[in-house]
Amino acid sequence: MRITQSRIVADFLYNLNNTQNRINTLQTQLSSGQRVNVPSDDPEAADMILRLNASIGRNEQFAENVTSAQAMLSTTTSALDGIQQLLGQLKTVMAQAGDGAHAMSLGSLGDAVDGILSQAVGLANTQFNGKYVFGGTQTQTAPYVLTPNAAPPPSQTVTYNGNAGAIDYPVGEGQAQQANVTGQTAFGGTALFNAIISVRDALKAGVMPTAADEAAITNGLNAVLNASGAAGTIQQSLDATTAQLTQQHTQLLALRSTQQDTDVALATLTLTQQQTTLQAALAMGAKILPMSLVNFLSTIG
Amino acid sequence: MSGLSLILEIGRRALQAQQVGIAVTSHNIANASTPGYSRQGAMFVPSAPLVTPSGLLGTGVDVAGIRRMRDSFLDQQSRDVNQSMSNASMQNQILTQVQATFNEPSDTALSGLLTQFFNSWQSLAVNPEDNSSRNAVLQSAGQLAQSFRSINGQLTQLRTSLQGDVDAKITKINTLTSELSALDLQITNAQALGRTDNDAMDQRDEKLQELSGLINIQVSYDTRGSMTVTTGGSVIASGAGAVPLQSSVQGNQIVVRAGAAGGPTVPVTGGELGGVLTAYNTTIPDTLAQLDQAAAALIARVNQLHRAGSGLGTPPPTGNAFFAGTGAADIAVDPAIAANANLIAASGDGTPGDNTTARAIAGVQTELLMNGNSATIGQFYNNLVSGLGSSVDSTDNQTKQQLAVLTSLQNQQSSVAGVSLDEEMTNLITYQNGYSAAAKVISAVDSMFQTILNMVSP
Repeated sequence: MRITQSRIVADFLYNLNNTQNRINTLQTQLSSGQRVNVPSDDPEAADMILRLNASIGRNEQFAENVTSAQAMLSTTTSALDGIQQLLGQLKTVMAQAGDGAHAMSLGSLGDAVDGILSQAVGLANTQFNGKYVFGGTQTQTAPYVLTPNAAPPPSQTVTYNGNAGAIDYPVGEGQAQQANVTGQTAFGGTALFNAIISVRDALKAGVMPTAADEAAITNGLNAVLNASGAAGTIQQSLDATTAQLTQQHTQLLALRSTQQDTDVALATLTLTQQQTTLQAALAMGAKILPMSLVNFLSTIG
Repeated sequence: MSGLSLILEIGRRALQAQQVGIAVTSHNIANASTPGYSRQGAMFVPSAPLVTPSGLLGTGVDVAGIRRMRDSFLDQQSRDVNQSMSNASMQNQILTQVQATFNEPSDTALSGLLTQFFNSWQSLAVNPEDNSSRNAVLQSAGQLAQSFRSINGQLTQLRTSLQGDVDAKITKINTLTSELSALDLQITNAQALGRTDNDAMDQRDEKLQELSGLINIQVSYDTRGSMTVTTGGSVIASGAGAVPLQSSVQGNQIVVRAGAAGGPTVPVTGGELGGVLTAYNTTIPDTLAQLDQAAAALIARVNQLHRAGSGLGTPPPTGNAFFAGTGAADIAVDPAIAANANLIAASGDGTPGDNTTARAIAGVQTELLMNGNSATIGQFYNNLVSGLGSSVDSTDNQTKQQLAVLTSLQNQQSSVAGVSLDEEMTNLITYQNGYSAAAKVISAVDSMFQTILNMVSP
């Protein structure tokens, strides 16, 4: 084959350009730390990265939702624990009333119950992050309101302004977790408070609370204990969900890294090879390109 | 004529022939770097012999002509490869811009904003009464809508700017075809006088090569060596003249016609013009349509769920659309909602703590709404982006492959037509030696004449 100067030059430039292109790609990969900077770098990986990004974003959001649910539930449980203690005190007061040897008058015990009642209502109106936790989905109105009764007994009526609505938080793909305990579940609507009112009214009137009142208080305490236990169970399961989400998060990040990140060792090695090639090409070009017969003919003829 | 005069004549012809040889060689050397130049060679032939009693006696050398060394088959192949390479390369350039418009993969690009949008609805589901959650929904929805509109706007802008490209390329094509026609006429005129206009033929080949980078062409030659250039069946250049191309926008598509406005439509499939037209007529409209589909599906589904839900207030506002607009071009958060975040419907039953609507809208992220209920909006969009990536990648690969083929063809042509300085220097030495030798012959004859003249003079 006839080889001409222009061909040598064209070949040299073509190969040099190819080498420089490869070096450029490797440098971009190394300096950005990413193997896929635009979708065309690896369309399949780009598709995967976009999907993983969405999954990671969702996963992080689920984790936030779980944290919120946990906070909501712990507020709920501490309120329930408070009411549980108050009911314990109430039982003590009732036992004292039944104990004939006790010096205190029933009336002053009634005052103590009055205090318990207002504290219990206060706890039942607990707010978390601007919402009443026991009102079902009626989170913007205080669920329990005491109003004096025009025609006693009872001296006061209690109304439940909430509802039985569950508030479900999204905590995973297709998974929702109820994060609220309604007044219906925890306090039987108004039943518990009506019983306390009835006990108080009786004591203040100087009579012993009825057995029905006592039974109602015991039932109320059981319901509060159950609700608190249920909330605790949900919190435990949310702990498990958090662990699961964290594990998923780690896996998703690792997966994205394999798709997106530059294999630095490999890229550096390849870059070194390409640099050697480039140096060789340039050195060769500098030696070969200027050469022709002309250089060796001092005088012709 | 015989004897010494004949030898003198042979010497003179030899001197002349070597001079022609040196002239051709220096022409070659001078044009060693001229693009498209084909090396030329003087064709030496022995001149017609004389019949003498001793037999046929040679009368020296004649220059039969100056020949151009070129393989026209390689030219044809080069043109074919060039038009598909330029097509792929042009498409690659435009697709790279289209791809850059999307700026993926990135958290701040549309895919990330889509995730943020749905996440903000989840946050709202967690705190439906909370004003800051509501504002976060407004903000993320605003950014998402803005991103849709911005991509749509940039792509539309890019497409409009391609009209100018089409016009510029057609102007270039028309200039080339008229130059080609003029050159062809020059070549056939010289041919009619028995001359070969090598340099004009080189220019014609070079311009044909340039033309093939712009548009798909077929070139044929008649027996006189006159060319006819056709594209998609229409003649655009021949010795008889050039037929200029015209472009016009017809119903959202650019159509190219040969000749006057009523001329035949030319299907442009190759060259840079083909690449631009593919992008203008197909690629960008398809991309825009898909983006529009995604936006329309999002608007329709979110609004449907949102209308059924309720916001905050007494009575709880309901029946409102969340997004205004119908597609990627005009998607926006409904102005009424943008002005009053309490209109955002998170609740399904009107109670402020209920979050069923917010959860339902957050759930749109995983609803299979696209491609005949087989893909989510996010997946559909991802496919659009990775599809663009594949197109950029494949056009890039095509360009590289065709460039490799073209380089190899050009190398082959250069081994036939290229000027080798080594070879030319060698030829120069040969011709120079020939010239010196012929001069020696003449001086020998001269001294022989002197001998005879000395014999006759006293």
